[in-house]
Amino acid sequence: MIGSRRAAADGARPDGVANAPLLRVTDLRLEVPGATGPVAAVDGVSLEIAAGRVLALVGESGSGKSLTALAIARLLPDGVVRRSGQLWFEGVGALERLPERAMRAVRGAEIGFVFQEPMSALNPVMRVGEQVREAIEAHRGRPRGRAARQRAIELLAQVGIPEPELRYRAYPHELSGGMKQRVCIAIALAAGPRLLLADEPTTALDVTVQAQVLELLAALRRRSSLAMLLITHDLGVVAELADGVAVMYAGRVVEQAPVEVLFRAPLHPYTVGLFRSLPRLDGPRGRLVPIPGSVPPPGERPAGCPFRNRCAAAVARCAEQEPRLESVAQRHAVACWRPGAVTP
Amino acid sequence: MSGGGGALLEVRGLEVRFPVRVRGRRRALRAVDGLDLEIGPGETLALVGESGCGKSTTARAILRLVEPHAGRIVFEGREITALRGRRLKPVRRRMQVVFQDPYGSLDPRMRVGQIVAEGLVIHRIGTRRERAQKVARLLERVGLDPRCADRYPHAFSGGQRQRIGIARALALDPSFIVCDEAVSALDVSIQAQVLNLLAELQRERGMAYLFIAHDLAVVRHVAHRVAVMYLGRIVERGPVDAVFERPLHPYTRALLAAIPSADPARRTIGSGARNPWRVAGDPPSPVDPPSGCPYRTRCPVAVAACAEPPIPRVEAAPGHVAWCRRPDAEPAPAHGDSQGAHL
Ligand SMILES: Nc1ncnc2c1ncn2[C@@H]1O[C@H](COP(=O)(O)OP(=O)(O)O)[C@@H](O)[C@H]1O
Ligand SMILES: Nc1ncnc2c1ncn2[C@@H]1O[C@H](COP(=O)(O)OP(=O)(O)O)[C@@H](O)[C@H]1O
Ligand code: SF4
Ligand SMILES: [Mg+2]
Ligand SMILES: [Mg+2]
Repeated sequence: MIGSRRAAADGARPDGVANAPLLRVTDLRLEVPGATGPVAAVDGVSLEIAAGRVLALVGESGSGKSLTALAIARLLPDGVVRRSGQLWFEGVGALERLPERAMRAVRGAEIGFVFQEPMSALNPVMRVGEQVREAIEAHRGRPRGRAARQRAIELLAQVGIPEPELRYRAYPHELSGGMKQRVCIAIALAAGPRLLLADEPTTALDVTVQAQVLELLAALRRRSSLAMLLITHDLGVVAELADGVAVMYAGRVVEQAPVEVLFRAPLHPYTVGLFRSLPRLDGPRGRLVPIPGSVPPPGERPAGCPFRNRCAAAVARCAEQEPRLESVAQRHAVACWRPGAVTP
Repeated sequence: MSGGGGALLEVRGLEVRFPVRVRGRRRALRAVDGLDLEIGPGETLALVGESGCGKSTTARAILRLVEPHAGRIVFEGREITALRGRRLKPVRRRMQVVFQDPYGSLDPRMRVGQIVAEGLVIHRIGTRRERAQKVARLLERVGLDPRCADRYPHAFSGGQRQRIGIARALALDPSFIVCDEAVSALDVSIQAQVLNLLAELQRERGMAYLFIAHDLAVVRHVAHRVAVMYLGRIVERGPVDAVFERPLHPYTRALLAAIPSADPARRTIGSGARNPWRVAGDPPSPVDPPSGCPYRTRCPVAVAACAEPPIPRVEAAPGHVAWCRRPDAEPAPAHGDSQGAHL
């Protein structure tokens, strides 16, 4: 297993199929209303996800992870504007240019979405099985009626819901948090998408249930070529599931690397800071080393490097010039004038 | 600590029941079902377990915010279980609480200074001027600018609000603070700041903490002892290192097995190599708890005898205790991942 993951991280899928990017996001800039006009909440983000691979987007709250995912699905909330950026999806083309109707077909059929709060995605007065069936029927060329019902029950079974025929008739409030999240995953998968955008899918769950849902997600990506953009602030979840990681800070990607590389040799002072502030189950139990201060809101971000006012390695240049994301090794990129200056 | 002689807080046989309706019938939900614990002065006891197992209700009963159905609570050498009104007031001063939700637990219409000083006002401590000085000192101590006193809580980030909550809890110089998921909603870098602050304050002031948390890595960092709770009962307790390194109860093992590894080269959950202790499904309803061992319906090593009370108490080392009939049993290796069969 570990051997095949290594291979995957080096650019080929475990089954040997070369991976062309499924989704490519280029130079995404999203603006939110600020005190004196629009301010960038996401600025110059570029990402690539290959078929069947899991890219984790990590960073503290407010760093722009959710907005990035919402922009990909073209579900930005009112008031948030995509100022620039291309969203290229394999076989579909430029998502940002699709008319809303065509985009609606892409959502579901090509891109599924799972959120942190399962209740926000479920209709509280509709039986969960019907909601799965509706998601199946919503797309052209999919089974309808009894066949769709049968398919919904199969899907419920696939996501690990015991007694799916019985649970088909349950209302959301009759299910536990973990079961509701499984229903949401079933809905997201109903039309067989190639990409799953999972925004903090296990954050609201108990650790025991989180483990079950992570197992499910891992099994899904193993058995199908489902790709995932996994948004989380939990580095443990990243370690369990991701192939690649993009670390976001204040609206920018500040470091990007295959997961093993990022955990073994993080280079950006922010990434290192995240690791040092993390309480661990193994290793010494001494004082945690927090990052001072907190993530500045959009509009209050310092010029130059957005991290510099919290950074232990900052020098004059960090205030003068913004560091760009640049490759330091194959598939390892960092946006910092002094990569590696803070050691783990 | 286990003797309870020098205990700051001692809880014996605590039961809390809530009246609920299940399919139209009136039933009793056993939120806390015969719980014992003690905490020494200056000690941190962590209470862990899945949501709904009764952690907050235990804390609320200790703080006398919910009426226990049975049991005894002894705090600073005196029984407080039945104290009320005027007689409870001096006890309330000595016990404080910091909640998870730094948004919901601070009154948005009060200025930060008023929030922190509220306890001092209620207990008529100091003049207005002395109170203002104390508030300034406390804000400074928790890492906030004393000028924050004039602002409203909404102007602060989550981590700052939690610091305000801590300053409020400190105002009356308590000997005991309940931290109910106090750092659970915070980002790791901020969580580390608040955990360090709590540790420093404990060193300075010698307060004891009942630290309720679901993150076992956090617990390992802050607690001296840990009590693992399941369906209203404690199933294992002991020094943190002992419980984490040599867990006795299958439920403790399940909690530990569910934690994501912090190392992608040693994946445990996403690898398909299923740890046999890992638990499936959800806990049963506290309206109808299983007889005997509460964990037996999910336990991989349960046998018929586990349904029979009483469940034996096993003591692995002084103070490290579990309630389990088969503390040495090993489960059969799990095959494949739980979902694999379906896909
Ligand atoms: N609907 C919105 N209107 C205005 N600002 C928003 C909106 N949604 C998010 N923001 C701001 O954009 C920033 C990034 O938000 P988000 O993408 O939700 O971060 P994350 O998911 O990393 O926590 C935050 O500072 C947030 O305040
Ligand atoms: N006021 C209440 N009325 C009815 N049931 C309650 C009440 N408070 C808590 N409960 C129930 O008691 C059990 C324990 O809850 P709680 O102490 O909040 O658990 P925890 O803090 O471990 O998540 C749960 O089943 C919960 O639903
Ligand atoms: S660019 Fe400068 S301030 Fe930014 S992370 Fe690197 S060293 Fe720190
Ligand atoms: Mg988010
Ligand atoms: Mg609780």
